Amino acid sequence: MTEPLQRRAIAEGVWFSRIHDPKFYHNSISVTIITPLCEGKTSAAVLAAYLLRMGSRRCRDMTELECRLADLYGAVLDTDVSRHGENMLLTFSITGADDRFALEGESISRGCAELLGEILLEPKTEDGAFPEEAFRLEQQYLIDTIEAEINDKRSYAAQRCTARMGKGFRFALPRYGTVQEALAVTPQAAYDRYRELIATARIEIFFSGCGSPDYAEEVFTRLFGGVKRAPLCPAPQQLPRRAAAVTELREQLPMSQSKLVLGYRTGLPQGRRARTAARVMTALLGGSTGSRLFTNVREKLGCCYYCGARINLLTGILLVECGLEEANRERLQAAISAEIADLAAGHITPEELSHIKLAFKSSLASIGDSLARTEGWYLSGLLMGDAVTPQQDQEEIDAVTAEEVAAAAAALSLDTVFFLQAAGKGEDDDEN
Amino acid sequence: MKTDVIHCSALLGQSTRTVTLPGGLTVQMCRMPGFVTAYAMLTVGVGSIDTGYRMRGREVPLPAGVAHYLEHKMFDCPYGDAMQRFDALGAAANAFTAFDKTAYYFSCTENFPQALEVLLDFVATPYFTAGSVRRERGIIAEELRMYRDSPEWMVTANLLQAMYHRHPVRVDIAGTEESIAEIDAALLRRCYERFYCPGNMVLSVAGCFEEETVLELAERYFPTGKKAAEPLTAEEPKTVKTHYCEQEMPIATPIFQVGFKAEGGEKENMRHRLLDELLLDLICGETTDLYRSLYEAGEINATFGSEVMAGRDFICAMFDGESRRPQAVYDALCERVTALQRDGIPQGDFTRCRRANYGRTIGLYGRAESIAGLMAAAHFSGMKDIYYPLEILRSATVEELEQRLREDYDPANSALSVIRPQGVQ
Repeated sequence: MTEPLQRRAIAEGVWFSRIHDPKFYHNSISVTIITPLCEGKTSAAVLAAYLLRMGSRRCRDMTELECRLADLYGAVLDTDVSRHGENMLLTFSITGADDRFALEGESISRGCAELLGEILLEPKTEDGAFPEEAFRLEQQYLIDTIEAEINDKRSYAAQRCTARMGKGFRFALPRYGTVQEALAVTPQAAYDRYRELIATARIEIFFSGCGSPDYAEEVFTRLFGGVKRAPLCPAPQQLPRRAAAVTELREQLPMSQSKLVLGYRTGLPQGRRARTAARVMTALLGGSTGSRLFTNVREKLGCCYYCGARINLLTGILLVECGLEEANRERLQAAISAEIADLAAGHITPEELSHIKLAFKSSLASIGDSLARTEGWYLSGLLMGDAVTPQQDQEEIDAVTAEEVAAAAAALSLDTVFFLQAAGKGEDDDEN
Repeated sequence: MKTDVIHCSALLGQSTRTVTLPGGLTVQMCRMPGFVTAYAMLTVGVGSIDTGYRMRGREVPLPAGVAHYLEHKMFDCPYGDAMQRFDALGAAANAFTAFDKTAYYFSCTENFPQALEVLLDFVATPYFTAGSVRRERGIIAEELRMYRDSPEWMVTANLLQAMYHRHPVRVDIAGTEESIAEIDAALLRRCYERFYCPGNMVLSVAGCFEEETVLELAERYFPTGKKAAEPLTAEEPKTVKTHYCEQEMPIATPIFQVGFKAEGGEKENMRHRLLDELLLDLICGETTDLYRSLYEAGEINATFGSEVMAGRDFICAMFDGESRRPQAVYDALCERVTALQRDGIPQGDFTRCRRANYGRTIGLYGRAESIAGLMAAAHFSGMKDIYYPLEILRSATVEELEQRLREDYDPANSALSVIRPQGVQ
């Protein structure tokens, strides 16, 4: 990146950020709507996000919209629904080739900015609600999406473990809501929820790429200038720091490979330095092919294809996940616990710590070679409230000591063990 | 003999350099000003479809999954695990086995020469011990089980089995639990000797690096080399084995994949692949009336997509997604193909799709990993350079696409694969 992030408010709670780098061939504009997760309101928001793709003031239907994207040299419109701690993020992005590649001198980036603005702030409606017919299709799609979460057994197992650990907290609310919730939404309710989000959510807009962001900024400043804004800022919830007791959960599915997920509470490290140490500890434990879980558990025991760890600093949860045969479960679980205990005891060689720091360094340095990663990096930092450059982060990682890593491991407490048992295809479940 | 060729793209302001070393190894390089990451990939022309080779007039069969097993075990070195060396250098390394190739790669922002040396060294130095090879069997068996639980993986695996009679593309890349049981250290060594020859490899480097460093190291590790074994090929009929297959799995909504089987040809596959990507957009891309009518009828949803799967001697065009009535979607796709064959492709639709594909293709040249992948693909497919796709898109005509549609999109040579929720008809 040749210039640092430039960010300014274009309306109350609406921010426009520029990331400029001439080495790229593309430009990307993204709008992220950030709102606290709220029970009973998730499905309506997701449905609204889906329905925005179905047309706009100038595009009567999805085909006209897709033709406009194709005419913008195959610009790609993406919609993403994700969670960031207690917040729900609805991200709409459009990525297109830079103007210099246009064959007839047209401005692709202007066309992209206008189209994205139109989709978001001038959606297609009928009598003040989303069109009924399109709504029914997207409602069914949402239900299918919710039900399809079981298809990916690895993420399903992780999600079940997290849901148990976060019971009663906003962060554990289902990403898309529930089937019952989705069924209760109406075209009017979805549209009302969307209007509410446009008025009350925090909104982060990024223009990143090699082109000029001026026109996009002008478009969104004008569009949000016409919105009466009243941003909401609810107080964060108090999350548990340590596990009170270990909960064991087991489910069965007719499949070939069992999944084991160990959910640990992290102690919710406070301050950047402690959080950075927790990240280093997680990487050392199971974040890469050089980690303890890969080298000492996967490679030496030779009984699982994957075994890794990931941390969520916002929810205070660290998950260790592996795919295995049930017969190896106890051996694996004992080996994982032994690695954590070993880290907590401070048995960390200067060599392995320096290797992990080097891996961070390489990964952080390469962020600027990807528009999506650069944008993701800064958005995440802004949401955490402490945006720093990758370079600053690297300096903080370099400063982490073995003692701080050991302290982060010692703070882990096992809360939930989720075992998704392979019942064998065609076999009946024999226990509950 | 050493050759050295430079290809430039004035449009992108980018160039690549291809050097064939005296030992036979081809080295492709693309320096990307402004980028800090270097990405290097060493690709070997052996994959899962190589289930045997010909030697002194004799055909030698190999167990399914041997190329993949070899990929797992190549990281073993006399000093330990090459992965640990990469880690010590801050390089992120990995490997994959495809139907017709095996690739080893890393990316890094510093220590590039040292990391490249680790890559070249472990691929040039086979080191297989009985214990390590035996231990790996359990890991690969778990990998096989993991994929067997993936509906997205199985819908494609089943489709390939339905479409192909004998071609080894119908066998899982990692083999089967039975076939991997036949693989030991001696067999891995023999496969290595037969296929891991410099003339059957290409080193592709993109991003931030020094060309002379790459050439010097490549020449040092692969100074000479014998010819790779001639892989066995299977006579594959044009027809499909069966038009329909299904499997039950614990999923919520049925998923499907439709495949149109075309005739593969090594030299033509890259061009055909690019033309087919245009055709898929024209048949049922998001701008088509068919897409809208299927979507509005609730037959498909936003998961619907398409892809071209092409390798050394096979190519097929596929549509996939979720649907409660996959047969209806399949029928509609076949009808659409027939209608386009009969009525021709509207010029306006063609122009729009071509423009969209041109814009999206430009994106490939802005990422080191996709440039390295393009360079390797160009090498194995005989494509003259990595900028050829842009040239094809610029020069493609409606007539050419119509011809391709007539020749290789026969609904009679298509198949439908469905994964149904368990217990639901």
